[in-house]
Amino acid sequence: MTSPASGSAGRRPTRQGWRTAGAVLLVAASLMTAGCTQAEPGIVADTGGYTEPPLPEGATIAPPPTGPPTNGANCGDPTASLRPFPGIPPEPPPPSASLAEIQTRGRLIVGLDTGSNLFSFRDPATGAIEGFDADIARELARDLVGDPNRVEFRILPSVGRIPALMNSTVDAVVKTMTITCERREKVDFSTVYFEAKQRVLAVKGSGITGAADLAGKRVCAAEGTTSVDRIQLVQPEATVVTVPNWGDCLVVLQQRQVDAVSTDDSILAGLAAQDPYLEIVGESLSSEPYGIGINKSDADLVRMVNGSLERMRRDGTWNRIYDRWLRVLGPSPGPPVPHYLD
Amino acid sequence: MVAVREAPSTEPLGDDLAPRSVGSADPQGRYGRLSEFLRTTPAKMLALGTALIVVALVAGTVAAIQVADRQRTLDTLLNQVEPQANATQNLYSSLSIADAAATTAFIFGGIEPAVVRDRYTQSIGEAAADLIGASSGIIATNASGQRLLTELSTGLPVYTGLIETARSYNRSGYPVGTAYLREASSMMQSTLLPIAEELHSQQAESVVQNQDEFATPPWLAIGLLLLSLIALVVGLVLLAGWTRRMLNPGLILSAVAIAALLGWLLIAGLISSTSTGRALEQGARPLMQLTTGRILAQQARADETLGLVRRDVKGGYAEAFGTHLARLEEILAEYPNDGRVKVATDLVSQAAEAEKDWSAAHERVQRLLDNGDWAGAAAVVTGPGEEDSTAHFARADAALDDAIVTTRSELRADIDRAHSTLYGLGSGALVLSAVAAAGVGVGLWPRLREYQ
Repeated sequence: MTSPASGSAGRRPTRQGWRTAGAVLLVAASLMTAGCTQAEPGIVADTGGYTEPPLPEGATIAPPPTGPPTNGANCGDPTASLRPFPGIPPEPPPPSASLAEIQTRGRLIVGLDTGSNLFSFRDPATGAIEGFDADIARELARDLVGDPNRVEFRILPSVGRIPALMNSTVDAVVKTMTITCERREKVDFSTVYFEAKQRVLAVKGSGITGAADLAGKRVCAAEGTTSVDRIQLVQPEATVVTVPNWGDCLVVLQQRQVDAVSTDDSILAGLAAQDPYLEIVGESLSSEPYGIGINKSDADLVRMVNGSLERMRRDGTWNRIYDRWLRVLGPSPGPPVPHYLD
Repeated sequence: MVAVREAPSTEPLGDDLAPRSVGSADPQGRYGRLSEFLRTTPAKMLALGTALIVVALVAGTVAAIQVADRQRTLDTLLNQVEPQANATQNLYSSLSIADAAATTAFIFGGIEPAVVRDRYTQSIGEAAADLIGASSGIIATNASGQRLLTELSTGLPVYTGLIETARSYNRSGYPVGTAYLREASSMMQSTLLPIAEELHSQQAESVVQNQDEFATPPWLAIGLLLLSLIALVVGLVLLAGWTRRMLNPGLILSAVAIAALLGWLLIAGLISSTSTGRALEQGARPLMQLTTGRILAQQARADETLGLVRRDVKGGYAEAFGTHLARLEEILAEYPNDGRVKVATDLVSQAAEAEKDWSAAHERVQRLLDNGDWAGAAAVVTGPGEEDSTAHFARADAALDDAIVTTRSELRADIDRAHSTLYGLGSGALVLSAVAAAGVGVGLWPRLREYQ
């Protein structure tokens, strides 16, 4: 029988010195002469290091891109959308079955998340969901069901946006969603309601000044976003850690499980606003036009939403919402110019 | 060359032959004398006496060992294994309640309600105390239990650290608090609680195992004592024949001592093993079902609140809620139908009733969510109304908790009875068998002396 006391003697001399070791050996010897009648006493299990914090639920390392990056099916200008109905809100739209369904229900169901500070987040003080996207969704509800508060938010992880639209779990997704040709194959989009640029967020003084410094580093991005593809394209040497929500990226950055976060400046500004030791660095990696996602078969809703966006551009609502949330990005550049298909 | 002697001397041969003839004749004489001796009455008496003494002493020692073994196990069960199993059950509850409170505090905005925060800190304190209760005695004996406890004890401070980070961010008005809360809750639900559950089922299992061994009477000791008694009666009859006297009083004393011990062992052993059996049927096994039921209720409650906080549209939480509640319903429905279990059945039916109401309230929640009415659903899940989920869950949980307390005291009373009926039997067995052995010696000695 190996005496546990001699085991601890082997572990401790550096801390407690030889006197302790000697005493422990004496105890060990007396234990052995006592004939080892006791059952194996407290062998302290070696449970390894304790310094590693847990990861957010669903955090994984993104697989490297398979094959050469595809820019999606070429669909011409992906940002071109359907023209609004002739009467811009508050004029009512022409009769339509799909719009009537929402109006009878009396609520517009909008998918977004609570972890994108400045765009959609849960205000800790009130518990309400606030932000640029949330306000845009409220304006849509004002035009569709007559009351900006008759909007119901469903929390979606980024990767859940397209399935939720395809299953019609939500009427629309207003959630920092970039318009791409690839996504256009599955869902429809409104006209562009915000133009963002992908950049890098890092800890001040970490030496990271742009995408070039990310080689061999770990970078966080939300699962199922265009940011993942972009960073893998721009910096193939970086390991991309994906998480369900943007808020989780701030968590893993603060827990030092990643070295940087890379996504749209609009989202990064929201993360930086919660931690004064972070800064947005580097040049723009890409331009990210945001659109409101809508089910592909619901052309009437696309026209209605585009009409509503047109109203926001004209009556100054867009600028008001920008000023309320995004002044940190600089003065309002004015609403993006819409492109129409027809 | 070797010289050949024509006339060999006879002397050495004669010398050689003489001892050989003596050697071959002497053993025959010795064995002959021995067998002759064995046929004599004193030898038979001596052999009979030795056999009777050995049988009585062996039977008494075996009885003493078996009884001591039982007493020791029941004592460990009463003072270590069962309290540990109970502590692990409380540990699971405390952790689960703490996480539910931390999550609920975030459902509605603003500063968390004082009562919810108090519930959280109280439960975390209880969980830490339960860890000590669950680990007392486990360290030395159970390597896998020790590993689970170590994981829990090292995980708990990490969890509370994350909750406090979430709380500070929340207090500063930063939404990243929600992300920290989600990380903490995910750690609790997918790491810590499963460990606590495994720990509990291990301990509950060993409560049952410990008793299972001793639900039968000590047959070996009973058989040996019976053998000893029969041998003593046969010895009495034989001795009466050999000595042509009345029954030997010493052997009668021995027979009485062994009979008394046999009677004592039969009565105490049967009462003890019946009590152990009852502790199993009315205590340990129902207790396992009840604690599993309570854990399921708490899991379902966590699914309900977490699904709401995360506004999960994928339906993972709704599905988990359904599974957990269905298993709970099954356990509660089977419980009283067992027929043999008579403890706490009224409390279990109360829990079953509350479970049905809860299920109905949850259907209302689901309908509201289907219509997009999150605020309405949140009001049903966390609201104070009597027809809301919180009230029904609290009723089910309280009824199950009461049933656990009742069943547990039944279990402990039975084990205690099983333990205390054996009191004094171990040393009594040794004393009585020694009396029996002495009786044989005292009874035979005067008869043997008559032959000297």
